[in-house]
Amino acid sequence: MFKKILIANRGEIAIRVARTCRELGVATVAVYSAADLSSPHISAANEAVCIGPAQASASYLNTEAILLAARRTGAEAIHPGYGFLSENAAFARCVRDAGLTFIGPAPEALAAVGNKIVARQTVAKLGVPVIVALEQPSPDPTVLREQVRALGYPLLIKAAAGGGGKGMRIVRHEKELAEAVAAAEREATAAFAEGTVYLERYLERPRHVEVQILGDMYGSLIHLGERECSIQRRYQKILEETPSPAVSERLREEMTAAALKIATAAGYYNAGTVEFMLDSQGRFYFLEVNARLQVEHPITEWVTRLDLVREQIRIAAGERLGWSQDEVRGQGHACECRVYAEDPARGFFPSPGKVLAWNAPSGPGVRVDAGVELYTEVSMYYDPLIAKVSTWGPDREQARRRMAAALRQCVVLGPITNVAFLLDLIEHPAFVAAETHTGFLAEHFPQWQPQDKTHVLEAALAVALSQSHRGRAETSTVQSSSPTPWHRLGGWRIGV
Amino acid sequence: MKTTLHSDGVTFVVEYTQSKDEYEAKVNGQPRRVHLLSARDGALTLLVDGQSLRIHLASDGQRTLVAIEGQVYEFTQAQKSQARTRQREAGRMDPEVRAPMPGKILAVLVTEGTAVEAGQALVLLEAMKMENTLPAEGTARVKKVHVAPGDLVDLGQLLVELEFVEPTSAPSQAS
Repeated sequence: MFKKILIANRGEIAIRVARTCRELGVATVAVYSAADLSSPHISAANEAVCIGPAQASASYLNTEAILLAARRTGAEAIHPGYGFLSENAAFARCVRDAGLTFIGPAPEALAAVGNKIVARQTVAKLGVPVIVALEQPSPDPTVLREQVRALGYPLLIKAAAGGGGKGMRIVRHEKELAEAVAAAEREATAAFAEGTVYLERYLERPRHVEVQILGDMYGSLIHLGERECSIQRRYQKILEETPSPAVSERLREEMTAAALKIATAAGYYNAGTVEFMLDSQGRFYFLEVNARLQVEHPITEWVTRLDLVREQIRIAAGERLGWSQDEVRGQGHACECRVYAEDPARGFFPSPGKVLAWNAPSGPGVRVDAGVELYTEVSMYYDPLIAKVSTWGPDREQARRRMAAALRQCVVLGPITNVAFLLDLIEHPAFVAAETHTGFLAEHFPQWQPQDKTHVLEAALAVALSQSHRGRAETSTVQSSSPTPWHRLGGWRIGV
Repeated sequence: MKTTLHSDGVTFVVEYTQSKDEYEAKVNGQPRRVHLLSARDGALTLLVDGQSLRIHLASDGQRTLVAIEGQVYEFTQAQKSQARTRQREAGRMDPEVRAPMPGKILAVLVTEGTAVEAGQALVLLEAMKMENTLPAEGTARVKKVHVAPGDLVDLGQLLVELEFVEPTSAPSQAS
């Protein structure tokens, strides 16, 4: 086992990795940018090294600075978390060349699954269904229009190097085609320095279902069941659950077998996720492989009672899997809501700022993976995800109700968040009925505004009371030096 | 003691009588019995007619944010509030489109003289790893564009000036 691990990430995932390291008795090194001095991931680790300025390209994506930090602190392995450098084959190679261990799949496997066109072709050869696609769109608009006839409309443009919805475009009419391809190429070039795109038939109302896999370096490979992540906005997941209400035992067997086949072909080890689209007829199609720990891994941990980060570290240290497929039994149901610093009433516009009030939900069957605490500055430079609330219940309805209760306990003041939106989502009749698909938000929440005014009178009473107390507190400080809570309320600045 | 507050275009008049921890209150004429149990760490525990509530507050003096049971309410004391929610609900539109956060201009989708519809994208702004679309609030003509793709902008920086086609109606101020 490693003695010291450097965590090349920030926010909630860095804290989550550090937690398991403490349990394993492994020392940790946090890295941070100049914009993250107030981030609690720094104190979650045993040591911390500043790796550069706010811009991710100069800090969290800075291979040289990260390797230097590892060398200076004597870390033996690097956990990349998700995002940033986690699926970067070149980074994984640099880590290996520096004599350190990359906690993830081999660079060769990362490269094999990283290009979506190559991955599609490999998967199709294995006999796993892929969505009908045009892999080499012609630069000539006339030829392109002809090529696309076979796909039909609507269709989806995707970036070969893609991720996070960048370079993706839905095209519903022929007249939009040429411009959409050009725009997707521009976006992909800007995001991935690689502008190759391909065109896919667009499935209407599919579900997003993914299979968690785990394998060691000796060829043992198992799956940990599926997760459904259909509730998305701009290809960004918002709410995930496991098991998927749409997956029967028989379908689960087929999908997990396909996932294992794909991972085996790629020579994959460590934790990974094979994503599929599931259409309304119960047919599934390969989407992509996420060669890292997923944001939504806590729900798999809830039902399997495994610690995926612990397994990742053990596997990277050369240990054997230690679990047979039969020993992994999912129990109950879990769901996760992502709390974003975004204003859902204003088109989900990001809302950075200092956290001025914070309460994390708690209780049996409730887990919070938070990247913030009181007074953390939610920076404009990084992902707006600030916390993940996950709940477990013996069945879907109990997990769902537990989530609703947990979200009502969740307090974030300062940045505007999507908590009230998540509450409306989790209570929506179509969600309760498990009628989910990737167009769910567009269909049911096209122009969301906060509706729940249940406690507005009590809120007004509290504000009036606090103002009368503030007056009293200011006069009373002359006699008493003990700070009153009202002083804290004075320092808040709203972004105008 | 009487306090007038505004939230989302609605006015609340709160009157407290009695002091100490037990209050007789009236909010918009409705009587409430309020018992303050604790006030610490930016949160109040109140009994309102026996209903127990934990209420978190944060304020800058002009506005106060209140969190109860997963909902956030924003209050202002001044009548002529610039609160955007009120602005939106009351239909008063701001001809100056400003950066709601610091970031980088990815694209400017209009030029001077462009006629735009409500909701039409004007500018793409990148911040927090996301592309954000800044839309026109109403039917308008673009009067002036102040930024170009690649510009780094600060919070509140003027991006685009609009001239609304229909006269912008000033909201009636309830008192």
